[in-house]
Amino acid sequence: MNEILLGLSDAFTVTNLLFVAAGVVIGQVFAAAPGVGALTAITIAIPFTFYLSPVTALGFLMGINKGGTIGGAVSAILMNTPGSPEATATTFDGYPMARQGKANKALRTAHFSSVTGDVMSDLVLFLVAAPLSIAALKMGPPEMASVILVALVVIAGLVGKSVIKGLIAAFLGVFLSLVGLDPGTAGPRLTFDIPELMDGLSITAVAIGILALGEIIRQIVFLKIKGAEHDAEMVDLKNSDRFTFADYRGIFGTILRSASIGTVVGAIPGIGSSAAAFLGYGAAKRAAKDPSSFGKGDIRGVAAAEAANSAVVGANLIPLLALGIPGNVAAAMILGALIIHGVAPGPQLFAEQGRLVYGLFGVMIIGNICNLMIGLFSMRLFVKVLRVRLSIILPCVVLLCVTGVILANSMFGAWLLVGFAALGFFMRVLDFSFVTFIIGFVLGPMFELSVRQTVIVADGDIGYLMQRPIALILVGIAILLGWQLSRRTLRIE
Amino acid sequence: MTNRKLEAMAGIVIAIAGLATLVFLIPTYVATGFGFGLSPRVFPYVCAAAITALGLLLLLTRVVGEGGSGAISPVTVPMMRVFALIVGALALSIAVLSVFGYFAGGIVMVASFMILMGERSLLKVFSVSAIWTSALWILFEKMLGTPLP
Repeated sequence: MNEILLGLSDAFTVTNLLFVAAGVVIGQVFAAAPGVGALTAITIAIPFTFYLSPVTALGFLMGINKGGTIGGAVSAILMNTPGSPEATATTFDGYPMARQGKANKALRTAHFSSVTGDVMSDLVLFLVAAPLSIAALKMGPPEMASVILVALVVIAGLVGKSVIKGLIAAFLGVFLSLVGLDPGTAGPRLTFDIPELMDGLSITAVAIGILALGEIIRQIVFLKIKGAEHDAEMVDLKNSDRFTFADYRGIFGTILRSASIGTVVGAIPGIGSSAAAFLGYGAAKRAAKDPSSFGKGDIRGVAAAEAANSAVVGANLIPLLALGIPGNVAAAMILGALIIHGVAPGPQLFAEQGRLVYGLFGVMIIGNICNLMIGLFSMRLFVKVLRVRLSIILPCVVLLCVTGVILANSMFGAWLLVGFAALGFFMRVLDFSFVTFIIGFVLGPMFELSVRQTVIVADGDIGYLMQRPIALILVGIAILLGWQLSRRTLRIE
Repeated sequence: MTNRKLEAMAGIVIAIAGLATLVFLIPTYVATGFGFGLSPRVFPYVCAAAITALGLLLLLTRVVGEGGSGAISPVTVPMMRVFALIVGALALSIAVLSVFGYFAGGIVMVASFMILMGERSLLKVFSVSAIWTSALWILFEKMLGTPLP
């Protein structure tokens, strides 16, 4: 109880409020702006959090993550162009609503549904993560290694169309995470006598290169190949219907159903918010008495998609806080930020850093309040952001990416960034999962450490594993899942 | 070129890179350890072997099986030319940044990307690149006290 109060008192400060609010605004703007997304914003923001306290840094990043749940819907509703992939299902009813003169109502529906879905999944996180982590504390190194193995197989199998390509990306991520001094012997591994590589490849250079710059280069290349950028037609906000409390009451059941779907999907590593939005939308359509109205401007369609994709944000942190395994790339970036701030993630996080975890919960509450309040005023700003041309936004974001890496890693990091941006570009073009790569890169050192500890404890005796039935079962599950997913992919491929 | 052919080529490149890592990179650039516990080479070998095997499997499914779509691949010679141009502009800007400092490098970076993206108004190119670079420089160098090159 004492730790809960201390954590919350760490969170509820003016400084944190300002940073979380700034994060929410940045997340909303980046998600609304064409060509960039909240994930790009989180990735770029990590090096700028070096100088902040861990709670403030996490609050800033969570603010961006939460703000991103709203911004993507704006272009989906006003321009029929989703600002982020998870807002695709929002276009089905959002754009028809806007064309019917209900643009304002559609935007507010998206706003309130997003915040409600996010709050609900946060509540589940607050209630579930601590008991789960207590159970996880009973896990030793063999169990931890096998849980990571299961997570990597599941993520490789579920993200992207090909398990083979997913596994290649995962192993490449783990392989590159091994660069640097070996933690057991301090012997060099692929450092090529370069002093900057002794500490390994910087997570900021890898993440910004693969996630942000790789995507920006892809967009510029395809823009050049396909010709000049076109200004999409945008529906005007003036004279459109208002959103009322009766509207909210009418869609509350839909929001509740979609938030539950999003929470379950978010807690499973690798599925992601786009799938949650489609599942939520499908469930709302099936449950409706008049499903034919969906796709023609039904307010429940917007609510279902937005509540489901936003509910993934909080639930993604359940496996992260309970086991140290990120549910998606945004959670992997939060994990990266924890590591940068010297916090060791894993089942022991609640026991050793309880105050920090409850501080994180505190800033998440602040984030939800900020997201609700700022969203009330920021919609008109988003409309202006949508009018800024890509040829201005993307070059400015490129400089921001390079600046972030230079601040975090000096000039050597900037050169690494060029290489990883090229890798990120080719991974996208060839449809290799960059999600699996990043999660493999983040989990690689944890996986190796767990295996190393298992080898030391077992003292070379393979029979030791027979005394660890949970680890054996998990390894069995990983093999079975790998086999099943490979059979499926070989059938498809 | 179809996606299937492109992915088969990717499989060959991955398998060759994996083999080169197994027979040259790891033996040359990874320490051997102390002879007890887990050798520093174990994980690199496991990952490189898995990548090689999966690269070969990718090749096999694209050549023998019916893996990958028969659709035309987005990777074309003009696309690769544009890609090389963009990466070249990025590398050049970073070189300018490391030699002449943040201001010069930042302006070259933003301006070159704007021109590459089809912006033709030089006034707009210069003003956006100068204002954005100055804004970032003031924010980090002056307000936050974090030194930039």
